[in-house]
Amino acid sequence: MPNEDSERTEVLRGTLDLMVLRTLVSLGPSHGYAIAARLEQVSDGALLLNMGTLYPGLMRLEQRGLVRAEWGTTEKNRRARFYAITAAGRRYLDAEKRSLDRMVSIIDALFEEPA
Amino acid sequence: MTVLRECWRRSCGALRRNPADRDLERELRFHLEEAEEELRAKGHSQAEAARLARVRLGGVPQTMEALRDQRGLPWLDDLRIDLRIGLRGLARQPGFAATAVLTLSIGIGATAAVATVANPMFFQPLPVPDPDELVAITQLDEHTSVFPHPLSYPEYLDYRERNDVFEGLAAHAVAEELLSIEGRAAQRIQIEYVSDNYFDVLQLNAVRGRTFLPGEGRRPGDAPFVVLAHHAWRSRFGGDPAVIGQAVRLGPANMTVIGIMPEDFIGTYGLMPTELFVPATAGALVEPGWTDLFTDRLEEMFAMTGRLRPGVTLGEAAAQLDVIADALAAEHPDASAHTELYVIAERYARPEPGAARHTAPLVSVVMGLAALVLLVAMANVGTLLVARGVERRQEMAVRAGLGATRRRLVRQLVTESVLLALAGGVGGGIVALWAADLVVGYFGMAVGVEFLRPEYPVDWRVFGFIATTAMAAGVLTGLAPALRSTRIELARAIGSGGRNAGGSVSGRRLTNGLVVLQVAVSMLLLVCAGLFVQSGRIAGAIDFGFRTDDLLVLSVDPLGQGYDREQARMLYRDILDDILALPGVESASWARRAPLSPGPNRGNVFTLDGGTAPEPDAMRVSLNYVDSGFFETLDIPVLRGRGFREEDKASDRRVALVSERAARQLWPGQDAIGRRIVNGFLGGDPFEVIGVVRDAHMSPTSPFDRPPFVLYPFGFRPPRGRVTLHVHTEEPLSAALPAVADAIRRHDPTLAILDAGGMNDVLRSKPMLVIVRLGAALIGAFGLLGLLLAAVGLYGVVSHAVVQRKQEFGIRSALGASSAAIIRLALGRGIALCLLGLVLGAVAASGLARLTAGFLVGVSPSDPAVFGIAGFLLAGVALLACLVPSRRAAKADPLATLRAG
Repeated sequence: MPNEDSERTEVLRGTLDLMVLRTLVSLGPSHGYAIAARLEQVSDGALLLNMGTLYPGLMRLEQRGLVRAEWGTTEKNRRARFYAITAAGRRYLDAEKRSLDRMVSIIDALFEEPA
Repeated sequence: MTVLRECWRRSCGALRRNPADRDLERELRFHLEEAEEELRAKGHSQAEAARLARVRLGGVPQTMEALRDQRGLPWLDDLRIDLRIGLRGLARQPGFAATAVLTLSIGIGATAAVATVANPMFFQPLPVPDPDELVAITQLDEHTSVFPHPLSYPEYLDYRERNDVFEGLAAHAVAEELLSIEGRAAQRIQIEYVSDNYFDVLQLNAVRGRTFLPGEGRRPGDAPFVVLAHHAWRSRFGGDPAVIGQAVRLGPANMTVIGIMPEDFIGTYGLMPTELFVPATAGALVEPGWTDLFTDRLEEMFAMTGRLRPGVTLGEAAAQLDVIADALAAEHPDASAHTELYVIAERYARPEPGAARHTAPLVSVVMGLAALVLLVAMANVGTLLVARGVERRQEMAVRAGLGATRRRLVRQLVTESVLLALAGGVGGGIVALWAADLVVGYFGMAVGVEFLRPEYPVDWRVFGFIATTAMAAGVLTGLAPALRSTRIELARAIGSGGRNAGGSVSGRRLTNGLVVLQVAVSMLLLVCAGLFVQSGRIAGAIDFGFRTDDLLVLSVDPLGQGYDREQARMLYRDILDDILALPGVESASWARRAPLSPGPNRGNVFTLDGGTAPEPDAMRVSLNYVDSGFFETLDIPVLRGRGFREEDKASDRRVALVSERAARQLWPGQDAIGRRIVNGFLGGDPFEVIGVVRDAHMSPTSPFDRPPFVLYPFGFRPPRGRVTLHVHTEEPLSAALPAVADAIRRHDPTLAILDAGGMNDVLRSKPMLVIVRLGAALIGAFGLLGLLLAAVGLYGVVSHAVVQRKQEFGIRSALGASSAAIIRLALGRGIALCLLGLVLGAVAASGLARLTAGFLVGVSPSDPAVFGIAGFLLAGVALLACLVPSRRAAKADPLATLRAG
């Protein structure tokens, strides 16, 4: 079990930040559960984030000033912590997206060559 | 940037943990509850939903742990854990912890105490603005090697006017004068006679009142002012702000207090604090007859301090001063010849240029030895840690088995030793404070003068020194043992219950090495201590070439108290007659000054009629004026010719006595009697040499040497200033002193009697001798510390080895080995290691001691007696330290040890 988890985390590590930031851009300020639910929905259930992956990731983004967090209330009137992307976060997202695109196009080009 | 921010946030996170923890947990609970709600909505039961959510999302505690790692600095949390485990472990073995902490306290304390005392004396620049612009200018007398050789005031003025390398050049001279406040009894204090620009050059302002105004202090007799040092204002005037404008008496002169210096400034002479600063021009009022300050080029008593112009280097300044010196030598051929100017950065001329040459290397030696004490202490704790590591091998094995990496274990062990060292550092700080006071107190006691700074603040430098030393000591002592005891073969260590673990060859090698190191360094310390103690004893019992026992000296200054020369002459004669009539008095004599007393007492001597004095036929000698009874009273025999007689006191009889060395240098291989000399200081007609006296230590600047001297009859020219009465008596000095004082007061009850005491006590306070004794005391103490630490260390190692071999000894004695045989066996290794250490230590000591040769008086750095005694002492202590645990091993019941094994 733990091994499986860590492998999946390994895969996600580079891109989790991007996915979270992108989610925050489209959803606006959201709490952790909403982010996880959105990613699960977008990936058709392929991307199941456990808390041990999601929350340290959010904390890292917060520590780097890419997101801002504050306590607020949900529509069901419960206390939750809402994360919002900062200006620095948007800049970071753009830059990373570009470099990811470059990487993907390189990989694509490589695989399109006849073997 | 973002990475920096993350670091910063993490550091913040590491520090405050609890409130944030609560928030995190609440956030995770919310997440779980949301998930459970969704699952329930899909039709799962309450319990099922909770279980599924947990399986999918992970547990709260695990996530919390991951979050904590992300939030804070994991190593900081680890450190917290290491500290907790370390403290717990140390608390379990309080004996071990106490020994280690105490040992390190002594080691760190000894080094820090030396640093505390040495710091303000040698390493702190003068407390003035931009001290690095200041230079000290002194001269070396090439004939007598006297350094620093002072300059005369006219010379100083020449340098001041002719140079363009200094923003300002000041002169200052330390002197002792009598201070009387509001008619109270006069007290002897240290003052500095300073040039008018002294405070401008140092850029010091008075904290109250003022310093000298422009134009003040430029003509003889001008500016009868005193500026008080802050500590003198406190101690002599009770810190009364109304002191400004108050009149005080300095010697016979009325002076006005005009200002008070900042608190940390105690004058340019760092060995003894100066109390008053007086313009040199007012010196004529204080020292009657000192009117020729501006013209007399032989009254050499000043040192110079200059402030360099911006951009001028030390070398450029020195070059220009040399040019001026050459010009001065050509203009005034009879004045100060044969001197060489030295320009030293003031910072490196602490506490004063002459002493800096001797005392700074001495302090380095003392610091080095203190560091060796620290090394012994560290080796000591190192062996304890190795022993402890062996005992804890099973614990380490279990932890490693549970997944702790070696790195982690080593860090844990080093944390423990750093913990020990930090406790040792705290202890060391206490020891240092206490020892610094003790050192200063000891100086005062041994020396009879308070010649150091009034107080020793432990400033941040010393604190930083202690902290750094403690940390370094902790890591260094801990690392090797930690690496050792974590090198484990898991299965074996756990399986054997840790029993065999101590027997490994490399483990022993480390312990053995540490023991040898300890013994060797202790030997080194002991040898150095022995050399210095011996040297101190010799310096204490140095043969000065004149009588020091049963000799009373005291000084009076009738000219300074208003007598004229004829009255003074009568007074001297009458007092001497009365003293000679006292019971027990064998002989007595007046002299200008006692041997080795400071003062302007050197001059050039020219020979006439065919003598060959050193180039260019002048020789610098020390002078004194002595009475006819001087030779008998001081037991300086007249070797050839005759001593002075009553009739020689007549001022038209120009006769002189020379010392053996002076005679030999002035007229090599010839008879000195009947030769004629001219004295540059006295001038006029030549003097006829009527006798040669044995060499003796006369010059205050080289107390270990017997430079040439010339004596003139005391009555020849009644000297200004103080004169000294020497009395050789059979009575105990404590009884003779009041009788002599009474005899003097019968002639004049108002005559102040100064510096009265036994010659031995007077000599004890001579700075060079003080430094030698001081070194002996300090280094002797280090030797004892080294011995003590080595004994503790050996005891620990041997008893640990005995415990390790308990089983073997049990079997041997069960098989019939006698207890003597067991003792021999147990002793064997300890003794072998000690011998090896002794030999290595002796070799190192013979090399290192050579460096200290310059500070040793009358003892060779390879003195066999010192080496022998040190070796035997250390061997004895080592034997004792080995014997106790060995005997215990032999006495143990073999059955009990076998079963326990």
